[in-house]
Amino acid sequence: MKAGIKAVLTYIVYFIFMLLVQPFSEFIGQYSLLIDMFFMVIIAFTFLIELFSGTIIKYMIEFSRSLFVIFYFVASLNSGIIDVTMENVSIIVNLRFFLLMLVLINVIGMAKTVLSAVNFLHEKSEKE
Amino acid sequence: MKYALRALRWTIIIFWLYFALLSLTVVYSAFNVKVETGESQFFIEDDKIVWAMPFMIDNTGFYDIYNLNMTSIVEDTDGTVLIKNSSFNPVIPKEKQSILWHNISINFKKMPNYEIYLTHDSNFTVKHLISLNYAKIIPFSLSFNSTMQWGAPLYNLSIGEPTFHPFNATHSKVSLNLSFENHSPYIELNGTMEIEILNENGEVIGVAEEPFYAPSGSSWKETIEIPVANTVEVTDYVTIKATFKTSMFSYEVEARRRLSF
Repeated sequence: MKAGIKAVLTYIVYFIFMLLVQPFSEFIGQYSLLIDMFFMVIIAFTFLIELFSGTIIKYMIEFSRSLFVIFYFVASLNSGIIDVTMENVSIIVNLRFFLLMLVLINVIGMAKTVLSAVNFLHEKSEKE
Repeated sequence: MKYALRALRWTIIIFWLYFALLSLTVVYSAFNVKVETGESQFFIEDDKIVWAMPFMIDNTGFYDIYNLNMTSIVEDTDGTVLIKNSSFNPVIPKEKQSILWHNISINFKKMPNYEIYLTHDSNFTVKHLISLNYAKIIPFSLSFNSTMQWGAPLYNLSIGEPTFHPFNATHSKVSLNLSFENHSPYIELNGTMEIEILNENGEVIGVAEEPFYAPSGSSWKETIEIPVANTVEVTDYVTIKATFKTSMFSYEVEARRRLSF
């Protein structure tokens, strides 16, 4: 039940995001499939994390999610360099700073997940 | 362990908040940078034609714009770089307006093979490159191409057949027609023209100098009379050297012609 609610909430976030970026649909048109795919995977991860709550699998899924986000952004943002060509106009935007921040946040998230997993196992062994 | 986990959790929250705030303000600010182009101006300065374009940049965002660089590269149809001009503004502070004049100077003396473009119309490709560093964290560049029609100022320059006329006891005259069309929309030709006539031995037999004036888009045609001393050897064939001198360029053309008597 809780897993479903969280997945629906994530879907609402996706829906709001899509509404906000609607005015730039022409610009991000080629990335819409990538954005859809990202949110679908994140919804699936959110559902699974909540589903496996209270087990070690939850931490494994959390770790996978962080890893997925890092690889997803590195791949989709072309290592931080966005190159868009429309007719004879070429635009290059360097988003490496933002990519670096995303990677850093997710690396810290992975470290937190590992520590949480160790803590979970420690508490579990103490209870036993 | 719990303290470490709490510290990491807070670190992640703070980083996410910073990331979200930065992303939102950068996007909002970037859309609040207004760029307007003023009316382009053409003028002739010393030995060059200057095409000046004003850009009014109103930075109403939250961040400064650094290293704004505008470069224009004019290329011939075969890709040869003829002109390269850059304009630079080191910083446009937030909530400030700035006017950047971007000048494209056409200096014939600095153009490779400029003689070709004096007598031949062409289509030039102008590559515009704009680069800047927004908020010192987002390097951005934009490039686009446009075409520029080039009208030759001495288009279809031709030297007519010279005719020899006896004039008086000491001198004769060689008359010939010279013509061209000024196809340039920017250049108003105003200068002097020197004519030299050489006989088949390479000796100068006559010299003349005349002013010439051809406004943009006009045809210029004139009959030139060159005095020739009766003491010099006049041959059947002569070489005519015409040199057009203006503040922007000097162009010399040479033709071998049969002299009509």
